[in-house]
Amino acid sequence: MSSTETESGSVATEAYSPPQTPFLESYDLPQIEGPATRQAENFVPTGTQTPFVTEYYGEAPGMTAEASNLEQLLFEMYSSEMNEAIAEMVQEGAALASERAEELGETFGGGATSEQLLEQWLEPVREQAETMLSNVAEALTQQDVQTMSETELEQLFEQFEPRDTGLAPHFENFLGGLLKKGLGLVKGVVNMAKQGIASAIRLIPGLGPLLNKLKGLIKPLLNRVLKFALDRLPPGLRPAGQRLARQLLGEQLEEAPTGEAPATAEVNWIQEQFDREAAQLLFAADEAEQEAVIGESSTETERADSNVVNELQEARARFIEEVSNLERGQDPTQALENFLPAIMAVLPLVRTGISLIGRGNVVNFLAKYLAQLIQRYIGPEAATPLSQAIVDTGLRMMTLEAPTQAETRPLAGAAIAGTIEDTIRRVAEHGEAVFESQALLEAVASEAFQEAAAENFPPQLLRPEIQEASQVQGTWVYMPLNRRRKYYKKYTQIFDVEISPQVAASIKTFGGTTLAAALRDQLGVQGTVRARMHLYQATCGTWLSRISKFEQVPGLGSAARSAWSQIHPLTPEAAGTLLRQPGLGKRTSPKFLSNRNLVAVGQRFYYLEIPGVRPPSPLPGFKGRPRSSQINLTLDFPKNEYRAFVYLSEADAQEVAAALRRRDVTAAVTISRKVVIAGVRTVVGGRLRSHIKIRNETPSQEQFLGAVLEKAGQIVLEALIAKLIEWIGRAIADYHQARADEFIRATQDQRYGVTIVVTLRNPPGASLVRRALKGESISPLELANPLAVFSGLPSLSATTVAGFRFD
Amino acid sequence: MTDETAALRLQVARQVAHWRAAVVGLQDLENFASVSAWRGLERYLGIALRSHLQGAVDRLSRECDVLAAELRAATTAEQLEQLRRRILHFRTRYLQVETALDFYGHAINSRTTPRLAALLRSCDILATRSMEDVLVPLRRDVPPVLTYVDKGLGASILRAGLRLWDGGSLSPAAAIKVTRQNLYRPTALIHETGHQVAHIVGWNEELAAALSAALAAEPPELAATWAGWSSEIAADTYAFAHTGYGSVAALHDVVSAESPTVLRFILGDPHPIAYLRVLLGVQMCIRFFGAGPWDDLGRAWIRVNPTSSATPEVRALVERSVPLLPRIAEVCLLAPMRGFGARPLAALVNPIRVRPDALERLARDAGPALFTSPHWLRQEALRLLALSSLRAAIEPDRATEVAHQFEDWMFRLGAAPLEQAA
Repeated sequence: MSSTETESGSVATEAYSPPQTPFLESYDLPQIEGPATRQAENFVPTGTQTPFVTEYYGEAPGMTAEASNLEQLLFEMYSSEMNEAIAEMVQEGAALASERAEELGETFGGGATSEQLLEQWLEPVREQAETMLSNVAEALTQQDVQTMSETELEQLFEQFEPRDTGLAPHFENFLGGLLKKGLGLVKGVVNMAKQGIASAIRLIPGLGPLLNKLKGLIKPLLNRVLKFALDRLPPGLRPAGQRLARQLLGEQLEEAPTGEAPATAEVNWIQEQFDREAAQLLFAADEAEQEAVIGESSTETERADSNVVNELQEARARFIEEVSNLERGQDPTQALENFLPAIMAVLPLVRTGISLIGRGNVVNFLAKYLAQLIQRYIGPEAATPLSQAIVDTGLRMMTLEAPTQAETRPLAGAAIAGTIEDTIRRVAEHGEAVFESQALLEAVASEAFQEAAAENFPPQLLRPEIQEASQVQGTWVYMPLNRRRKYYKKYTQIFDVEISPQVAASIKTFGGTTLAAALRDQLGVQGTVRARMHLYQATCGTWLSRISKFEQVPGLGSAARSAWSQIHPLTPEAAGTLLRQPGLGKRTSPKFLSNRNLVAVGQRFYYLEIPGVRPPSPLPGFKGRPRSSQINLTLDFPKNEYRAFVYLSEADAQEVAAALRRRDVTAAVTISRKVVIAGVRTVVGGRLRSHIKIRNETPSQEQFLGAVLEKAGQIVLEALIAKLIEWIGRAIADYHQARADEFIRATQDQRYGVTIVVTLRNPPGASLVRRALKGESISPLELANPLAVFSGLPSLSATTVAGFRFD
Repeated sequence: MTDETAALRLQVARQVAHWRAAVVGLQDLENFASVSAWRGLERYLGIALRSHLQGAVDRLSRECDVLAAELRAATTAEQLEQLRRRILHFRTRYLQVETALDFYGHAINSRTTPRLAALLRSCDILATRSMEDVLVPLRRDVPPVLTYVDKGLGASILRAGLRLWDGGSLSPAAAIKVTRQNLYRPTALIHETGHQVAHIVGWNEELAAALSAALAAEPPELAATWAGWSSEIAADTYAFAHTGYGSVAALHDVVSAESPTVLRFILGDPHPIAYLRVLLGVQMCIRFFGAGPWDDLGRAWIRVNPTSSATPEVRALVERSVPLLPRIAEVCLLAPMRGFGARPLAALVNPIRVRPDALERLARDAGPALFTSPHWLRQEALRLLALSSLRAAIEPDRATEVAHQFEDWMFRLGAAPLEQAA
């Protein structure tokens, strides 16, 4: 923000004209009709790809041999299933903590009682995890690990798979993931020893006791889960791009870049911290260094501890109270000055971007500016009708009960609070430059306020041109209604929709899956669906499990994965297709569409309440969980090998098996190929996360496969996609023809779905892709004829394993 | 207040106090069904039932509060006398509510063990699916289903949406009784859901009219008799369309009796003469499946139930009706009905899908996973029922194996609900 030094030496800000209001001039709050319903029209919108971010392992230029070895080990250890298991624990813990927070009489800070509650909740799994590691370590000590094949190692570890532990499924999944991680670690060391790496060779004799030492990292890991669940990690906390390089250079953990604000910290951080510490433990020079690693593990977690989310919860609640108690004509500036810092504290950009400029100046300016805009709704004469107007937008239908006085009274204050929070968030999305000019800040704030008001105020109070939707009377309210802490927003109108199979197939949900596949694989629903569509919006601290926990609608009301996995992203395309109201959808960065474990503040979602349909219970004896068909890729450049993990959902796997039993190989290949085509395009086309692992030399900056390949040009990217589809498709066709029985046998195992593991050795064009990843320039000749670069056939092989695999 | 009035007041006050205490006893629904039995329900069925039953008790409680208020206000003998008569009426209301609670409590309580609860949950799912097949394309709501097990030969249904004994409320769920002896072959479940569907779409009346029209060339009393049987014929047709020959064999086993009973005609009974009822099922099989084991069933049925066992009037009715059975079967399955959106039932539920060779092809294509994979269990639950009951019908030497297999997949289908009912 610019300022002028006056003759007296004081700083004066420039004068400004009154801000434009988004509100209708009339104070009247007319009676409105009940919420209108409409049916979705069957048309297919333009599709969107959902790119993901790579998980990246490799050597940085100038990296030491030791660091390189550690990176290789991290590659072997990383497990997407472990991420899922940890995410599930965090989601359950977050829902549990939020449910009990007010019962335990806490206002903010995740006080001692909540912490004790979660520690007790985690204690059984900690004990089992440590016991499991001890048992595995003991077994390893009695083996000559170096002479064991991979299969023998897998069989050894399989003995210790958690069974009938009496623990909840999310804890058992965690134990399974931990065991698999231990296996990955041992395999990694053995492979490195076979490559003649001295530091790995040294480890072999003492691998058992070393694995035992990993027990020391369990408590810190679970402590991180606890901190996530208690909202004690700042949103935007994410895994460092080149963890090892930064560790060597002593860099701090990175925070999120500019743009949308994540609602929470990234769960991936937990596994990656653990992996790094485990690898460091392994390569520690002596016992003292090992102890130092374990000690540092706890310190690292404490360093990340931050109460900004809980402080925002409390600040918001206080602001609502203060504003609700103001009389007409009283100035809300002071209340805003108390509230704004808490909002800014959770926005990474704002935390750093304005630290030089002067937070105080920004707060003062914005507080005065926004006070003018909300002044007309201060005082009971305005607040009461505003609250009533919000109720009339459909609150009764939403809760199925008349809201109580206690729930109604703060609605006006909550609408103002929501508007203020969303305004500041939107301002922050513009980047730090916005704070350098008062005029620019004012303009941005004005626009942001209009957009925020359009979300938080009833439409009948708004100028028509800024309303989010036409002929729809809903608005967004903080939820849960009857709690001090708010965890999400809900739209007060619920829509009746009818979704044909064609429409469902055209809508994408998290992970690039179609809504049709999600409905079939999660709920067993096919054909035309009639549903009530509930809309939600993320706020700071939203986990989808909190939405599913607090929403008492059929099919939700639980923090189980089967509940929150039915919540889908409401993009403009989905909103346009399902509701004919694209304005109700929110465009979001692809990283927040990758999976359900990280969403952005302001991101929107929907849940389809389908009469009579509930998530099916886990089948007794069945392992894993239902997932939709997908592809995951490992590009292993040192080995000159690509591995495609073509996961077929239970439905697809059984249909392929049935076709093979009928000797209808064509039908089998058709189903598999559809998965390959959709999956490769989703995974490879753009920024990638979770669905692709790469082992390569990396440039000094973290790069994304899609972004890097974009440098090489869309033509090269399309050529790679086409070739991967061709090669993987061919491998699967040959496989179904030659080894149908093996596939059929795998589908009879009691695990959800099967994974066809396709290995492409010496793939043509690998050198081009490798150079692109390193950021090297690509010759015009190669760009002119990319198909020539990719011409030829890799050596193809395929096999099928029961259940989901990606390693 | 005179002595007489005081004495009257004492009697009335005692009765009010008694009924207030009695209503309190109804408040705890676990007095009617155990906690574990409630937990055996799918969560939202449990919530819906509790909410409904609690609502009935709450209304009763409010009525009782009114009595107490009236007692406080009553000062004259006339007022007390009026109150005494209102207490008698309240007593009737109490018994009605208690009957409703008892009925549902008994139904819920039949989920006595986890395994039985799983089997009955599985029955809930099968029943619901069978209704969805027809009601969802017609954009009609599918009522929740509560299946319970009880003694006896035949299944029964308390339809959803019926006014209950408490006089005020409608039944929140279709309560379907399956018999213990048929729990491992519950095709009768689908017969009962056929009643529910027929009630919702008005099929009984339409079918009666269609049968009358199809039999217009016959003596009026014959056509009227068949029209009068339309509700049970509709339900039998529904079971056949979903489960094929298995339902016909199961029906045969339920209605088998001495010939005079099989050939008995009861005026006003909506059930067809058993003799004709089974042969109609055989005709449906012939019409849609061609030749098969139902031919033998029909021949054996006719042989063991000679029409000479019937009274002359019934014999005439039966002998006149038998040649009409193919036409009647066609009307039931192939005549367009307004209630089905101007389509025949077969257009919504195609019996060809449960033809024996189609069922065996399903078993062959799906392999052993047919009975274990959540995909097949969800997608083909009704055809699994048809397959299991077909095998039970035509492979009695494998009866034990078939029963075990059936129980196993039913148990998987009805696996414990994710969230326990409150």
